[in-house]
Amino acid sequence: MGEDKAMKRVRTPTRLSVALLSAGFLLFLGWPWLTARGGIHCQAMSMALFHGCLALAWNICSMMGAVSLGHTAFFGLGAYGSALLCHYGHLNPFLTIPLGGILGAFYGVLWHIAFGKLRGAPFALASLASVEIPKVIIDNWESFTFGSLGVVGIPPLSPIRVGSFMLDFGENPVHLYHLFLVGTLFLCLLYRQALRSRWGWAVRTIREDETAAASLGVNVRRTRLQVFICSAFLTGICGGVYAHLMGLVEPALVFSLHISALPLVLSIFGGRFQWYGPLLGAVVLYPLDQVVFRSLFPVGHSALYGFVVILTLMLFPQGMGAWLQKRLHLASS
Amino acid sequence: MMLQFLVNATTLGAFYALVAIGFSLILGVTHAFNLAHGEMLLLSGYLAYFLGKHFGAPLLLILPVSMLTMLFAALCLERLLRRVPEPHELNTLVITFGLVLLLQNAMLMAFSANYRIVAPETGPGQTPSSTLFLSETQVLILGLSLAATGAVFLLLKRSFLGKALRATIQDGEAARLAGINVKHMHLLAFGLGGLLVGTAGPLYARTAYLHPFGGMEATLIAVILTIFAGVGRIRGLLIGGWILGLVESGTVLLLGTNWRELASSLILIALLLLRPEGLLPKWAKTRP
Amino acid sequence: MAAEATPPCLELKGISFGFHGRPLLEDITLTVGHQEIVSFIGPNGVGKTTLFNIICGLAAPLKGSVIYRGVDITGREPHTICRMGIARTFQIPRPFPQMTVLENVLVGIWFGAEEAGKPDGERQEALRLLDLVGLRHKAEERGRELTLSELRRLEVARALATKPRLLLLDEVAAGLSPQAIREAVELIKSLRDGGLTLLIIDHFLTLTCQVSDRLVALCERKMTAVGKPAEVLNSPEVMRAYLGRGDA
Ligand SMILES: Nc1ncnc2c1ncn2[C@@H]1O[C@H](COP(=O)(O)OP(=O)(O)OP(=O)(O)O)[C@@H](O)[C@H]1O
Ligand SMILES: [Mg+2]
Repeated sequence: MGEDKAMKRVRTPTRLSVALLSAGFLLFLGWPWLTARGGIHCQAMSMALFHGCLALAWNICSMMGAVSLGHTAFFGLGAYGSALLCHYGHLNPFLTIPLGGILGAFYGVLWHIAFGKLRGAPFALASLASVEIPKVIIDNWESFTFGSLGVVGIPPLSPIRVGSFMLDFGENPVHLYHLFLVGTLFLCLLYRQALRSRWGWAVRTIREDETAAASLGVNVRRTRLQVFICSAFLTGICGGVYAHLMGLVEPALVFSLHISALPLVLSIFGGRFQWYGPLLGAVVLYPLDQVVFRSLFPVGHSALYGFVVILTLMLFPQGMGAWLQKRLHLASS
Repeated sequence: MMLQFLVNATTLGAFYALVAIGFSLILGVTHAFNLAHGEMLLLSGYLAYFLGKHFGAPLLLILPVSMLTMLFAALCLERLLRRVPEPHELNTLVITFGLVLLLQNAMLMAFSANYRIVAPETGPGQTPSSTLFLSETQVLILGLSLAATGAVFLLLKRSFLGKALRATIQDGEAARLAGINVKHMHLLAFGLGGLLVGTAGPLYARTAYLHPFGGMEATLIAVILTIFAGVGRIRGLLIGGWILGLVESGTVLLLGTNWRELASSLILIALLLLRPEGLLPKWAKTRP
Repeated sequence: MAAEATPPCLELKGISFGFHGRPLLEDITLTVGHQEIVSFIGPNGVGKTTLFNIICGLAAPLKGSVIYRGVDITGREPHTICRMGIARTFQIPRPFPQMTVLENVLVGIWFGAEEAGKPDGERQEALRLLDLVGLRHKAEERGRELTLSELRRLEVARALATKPRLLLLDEVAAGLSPQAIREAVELIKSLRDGGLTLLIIDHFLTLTCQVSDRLVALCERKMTAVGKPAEVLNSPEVMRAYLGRGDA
C-alpha cells in the first residue's frame, strides 16, 4: 500500500530541499563578498551563526522536553573558565575554550544530580534560580575572579597559519566569519546525525512520554545526564569564545537573563523539533534585530525577542521550521 | 537594634506576601505561571513614580489609578493566556517569559536604565534599615499589605465567590461539573491579581529603587512563597513572607547585600526539590 | 524435579505498598510458573495496577521482594527490568503521540531487546507485530490520532516488541466488542504457546476465565483467593466483594 511511499517520504530529502540547502550554503559561503567585506552585515552574520550554535546547544535539552531558562550559567562558567585560565595560565585560547566548556559541563552534571526529579515548569524555574549560584560566587570572590570589575585584557582568538596563509581571527572579520561558519556547519551536521541515531530516538521518547520510554527499555537517567553534559559543554564553549571575542568578562555580562533567553527565542522561533530549526531562527531573527531593529530603537531593541516568542507560541507553536517543512512538502509532491 | 531588625523583616515579609498572593491566585485558579508578575509590579511602580513626580498626585489618588490600570493589564493577560496551547503550565511560563523580555526592554526604552525611587527618605546608597525606627513608609506598607491580605482572606473564606474560587483551585474539572463558571473564575483570579499588584506597585516604588530589570526578583519571591505555602493559601503566604523576610534580612545583616540573591535562589531550589506538590496539588496526582 | 533446577518465572514475596502512609497492598505473595497465565481481579482502586507498577519497577515496594527467574529485581530501574524480559501495557495508554505507530513499535524493538537485529529486519518485525494486533493499516499514523481501542492494541504490539518472557496486560480488553474479545483470547493463547508467561488484569470475566490457569482475587489490600477461575469466583470472599459492590 501507500505506507512504503510514506516511509521514503520521511527519510530521503526531496530534490527541492537539497537545492534550497545548497543555495543557502553557497549564500553563506559568499556572504562576506556579497556584503561589504568585514562590514556590519558580515559581523552581524558572524554573531548570528554564533547564536545559532548557542541555540543548537540549548535545543538539545529542549529536544528532551527540558525547557531551560538558565543556560547562561553554563555560558558564564565557560567564559570565566576560559578567561581565568588565559589570565593565570597564559594558555592558548583554543586550549582554554574547551576547558571552559568542561567547567560548564561540570555544572551540567550538578544540574542532573540536583534536578533529576524536576520536569516541566518546576525544572524551568529551578534552572532560572540556579544561575545565581555561580554568579554570586564569582561576584564575591574578588581575590580570584576580580568580582564585579570582571576580567579584562583577555587575548583574542590566536591566529592560525595554514601553509603560507595566515588566518587571523582577532583582526580579520572575514576570517572570523568563516571560522564560525565552519564551526556551525560541523555542529549542525553532528547534531543532525545525533538526532537520527538511536540516541536521538531515546531523547525523543523521553520528551514524548518518559514513563513509557522507561518501560520500553530506554535508560532515562543516563540519557538525561548525557543530554545535560552535551548541552552544557557546548554552551560553555560558546561562552569561552564570547570571552575572547569581547576581550572582557563581567558577571552581569555573561550571567544575564538575555543570554538564557536568546537561544530559547531563536529555537522556538526557528522550530524546536527540526534539526535546522535553531540555526534558521538565529540567521533570520538575529540580523533582523541587530541590523533593522537596533537602528530604529537603539535602547530596548531586544523587545523584539519577547514579541516573537509570544507570537510564535500563540500562532504556530511548532515554529517556522515545521511550517517551512510543510510548505516544502506540499511544493514537492 | 534587634527590634529594628524585626520590624524591618516584618514589613518586608508583609509586603512579600502582598506580592505573592496575586501570583498564587492566578497560578492556582488558571494554572498559568505568570513570570511577568514582577514586571507588572514594576510597571505600576513606574506609574506611581510618574504620577507622583510630574503631577504631584497624593498616594490616595495614585493607588486607585494604579489598581485600575493593573486590573486592565491583568485582564488583557488573561485573554492572551487563555488560548495558550498544551502543555499549559510550561507554555504559559515560556510565553510570560517572552513577556518579561518585552516589558523589560519596553521599560528600558521608556524609562531608561536610571534608578528611581519615590521620596528617598534615607538617601541613596543607604539601605532603609539603618536610620529610622519606624518610618512613615513602613507603616504604610505594613498597614496596606495587611489590609489587602486580610481583604482577600475574607473574600476567599467568607463569601460565596470565594468558595467558588477555592473549589476551582482544588479541582477545576469538578468545579465545572458542580456548576461553577470556571471562565469567570479565571477572570476573577486575574482581576484580583491585577488589583493586588496595583496596590503593591506604588508601595514598591517607595521602598526600592525602580530599575527596568528589577522585576525578576519579585517574581521569584512570589514563586518561593507560593511553593512554600501551596497555591491560594493566604495565611501560609503571610507566614512564608515573614520567614523569607527574616532570612533575607538576616543574610544581609550577616553576609552583606551581595549574598541576598543567592539566599533566595537557594531557597527556591530547595523548595522545588522538597515540596514538589506545593506548586499545584492536582498535578502531583498524575498516575504512572 | 525440574522445578528445583529452574526457578519459577516470577515470585512475589510479601509485597506491601502504600501511598502517603496509607496502606494499599499488604503481604502479597505469589509464585507464577513458566508459561502460566494468571489473572487478577478485584474492585476498582484495590491496587492491581499498582502491583504491576511494582513488578516492572515504576514503584518500589515498602516491604517484600520481586524475584524474576531467580534474580531479585526489587528496586531496579524500569529499563533494566524491561531488558531482562518483563514488558507491560498501560491501562491508560501512553503512546508517543508525535511518532507514527510504526515508530512507536520500533522504539520497543530498539531499546527493549538486548540483541540488535539488522535494520531491515527491524521494520519487518515491527510490521509483523502490527499485523498481529491488527494495526498494520495504521502504521503511518501518529500515535495521537488513534482511538482508545487502537491505542490499547498499540500498547500490546509495543510491549511484544521488547521480546518479553513475561508480559503484564492491564485491562487490554476494556471496551472491546465480543468479536474482538474472541480475537484477544486467541492472541493470548498463541502468545503463551509461543513461550510467554502472562499476568492479566481484567474485569471481563469471559476473557479471564477462558484463558487463565489461575485467578487471584484482591480485596481490601489482601489476596483473598487464589486458584482455578471457577473456584475463585465461587469462593465466599469474592462473592461477598462483588455482590457488595453490586448493591451499592
Ligand atoms: N500516584 C498516586 N498517588 C496517590 N494515590 C494513588 C496514586 N496512584 C494510584 N493511587 C491510588 O491507589 C489506589 C490503587 O490504584 P490502582 O490504579 O492500582 O487501582 P486498580 O486496582 O488498578 O483500579 P482500576 O480497576 O480502576 O484500574 C487508588 O485508590 C488510587 O486512587
Ligand atoms: Mg488499574
